[in-house]
Amino acid sequence: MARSTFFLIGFFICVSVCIAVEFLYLYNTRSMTQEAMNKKALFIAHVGLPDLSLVGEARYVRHRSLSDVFSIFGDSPELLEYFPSTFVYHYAPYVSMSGGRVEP
Amino acid sequence: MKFNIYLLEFALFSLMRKGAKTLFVFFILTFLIFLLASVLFISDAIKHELNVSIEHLPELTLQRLQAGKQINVPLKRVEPLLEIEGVASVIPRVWGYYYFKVAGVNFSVVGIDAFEQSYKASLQNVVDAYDVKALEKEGGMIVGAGVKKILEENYYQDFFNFVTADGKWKRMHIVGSFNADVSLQANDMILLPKKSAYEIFGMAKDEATDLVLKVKNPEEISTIVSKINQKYPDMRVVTKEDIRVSYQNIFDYKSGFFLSLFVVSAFTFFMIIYDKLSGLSSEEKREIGILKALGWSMDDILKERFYESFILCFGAFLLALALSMAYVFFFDAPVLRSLFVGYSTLKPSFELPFYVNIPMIVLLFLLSVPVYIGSVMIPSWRAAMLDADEVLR
Repeated sequence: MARSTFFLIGFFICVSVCIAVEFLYLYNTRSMTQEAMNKKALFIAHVGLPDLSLVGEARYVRHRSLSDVFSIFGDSPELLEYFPSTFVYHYAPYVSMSGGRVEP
Repeated sequence: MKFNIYLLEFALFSLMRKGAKTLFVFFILTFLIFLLASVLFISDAIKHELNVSIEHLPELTLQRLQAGKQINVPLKRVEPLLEIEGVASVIPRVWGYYYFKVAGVNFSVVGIDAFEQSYKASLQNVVDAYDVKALEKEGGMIVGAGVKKILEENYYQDFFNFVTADGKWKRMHIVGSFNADVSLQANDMILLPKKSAYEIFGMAKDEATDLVLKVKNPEEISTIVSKINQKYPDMRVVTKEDIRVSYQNIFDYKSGFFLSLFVVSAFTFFMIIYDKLSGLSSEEKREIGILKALGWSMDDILKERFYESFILCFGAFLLALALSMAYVFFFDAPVLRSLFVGYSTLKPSFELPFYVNIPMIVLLFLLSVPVYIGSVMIPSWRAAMLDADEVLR
């Protein structure tokens, strides 16, 4: 077998081992534990608000599930976009337009 | 089909002979798959985080709309709602935003009935260093990790002066901060007694921001919703199911960065495929001709091409997968992270929970590996069909 073939096999083995080790390490250290899940459940049960605090620029992205298409008007008459979060997070579909009609 | 190690070696030497071209294709493929995998890893982890918490949300959230805008709900609506059959409880909520001008950030302020004993006992589990009695008596509040950090930066170590709606100062003591386990949910939250929330927001005591309803039997939700709509046509009802559906398309594919990212990467990928499909270079054709003249069958040529393309794109796929996992979960996705958390000063730690969506990886594999192999095999097959002298001529 040529040396380059060994190199190729070595490359595939190395990358596969790397993925396996990464996966096992992350699975054991970064997966959501039952304890963390219980804490999240408790917190949500108290506060009762959906959505994550990933973006806090405006109400309609922070609490997007409970906002509506007109929430943006409440912020400023200039209708500022909070790029990129307002671009990435779309408002909830049940407050969107259907068939050209705005459904509040 | 017998595996021929010599064909594999020939394929490998062929790749090495092409040198720069092989490296270029390898890096482009790795980069594209890495980019797509990273975005999908992040969005799947966020969706997983959202879906974990959804079970514990109240069944119905009621908002009052006037002229298309959300307004406060009068508390006198609570009793008639409780009379609807199947409704277990109606809780008026007081919550909203507080803009902290100095740091230019919005806090989410939520008022709770702090005097309820059940609240105190279970709150203890999600809060670090929390004095149960302090919340009500001393005008205390519990803050998220992000809020605490921002306040400390602005010299508010153990209290904060809210400016109420009528311009007065309302001092609230920080009695605890939320545990790191709930940081994605609670980073910008301030939990304080309801009466303090009323004071800060300047709300009338007989109003609430919205109402949440708990329903005993989930089968009855649609009936209850229609009854509420009849009773109060100006109220919008958001069900738990609505929220669950909205999480599915939180990052709407019709708009947003994901589309742009996907279009850019897919376009480049198809460019490569198009380039490959538009015909082999004369040198490659000559190579196939010589191989055929030396006695290689079409089968052998195709096998060799298959090995060649498989080594290249499968290697790129595996490497991209390993890199994207490390990028998202070890390094917390620098640059790409800004797409998801925006540019607000009040950013969460972005330590996403590790979550792998197997169908997503299969989809990624099918979008990259077979497509690339196909794009190499089809032109080779066309050339291999021709006679050796015709190709060489």
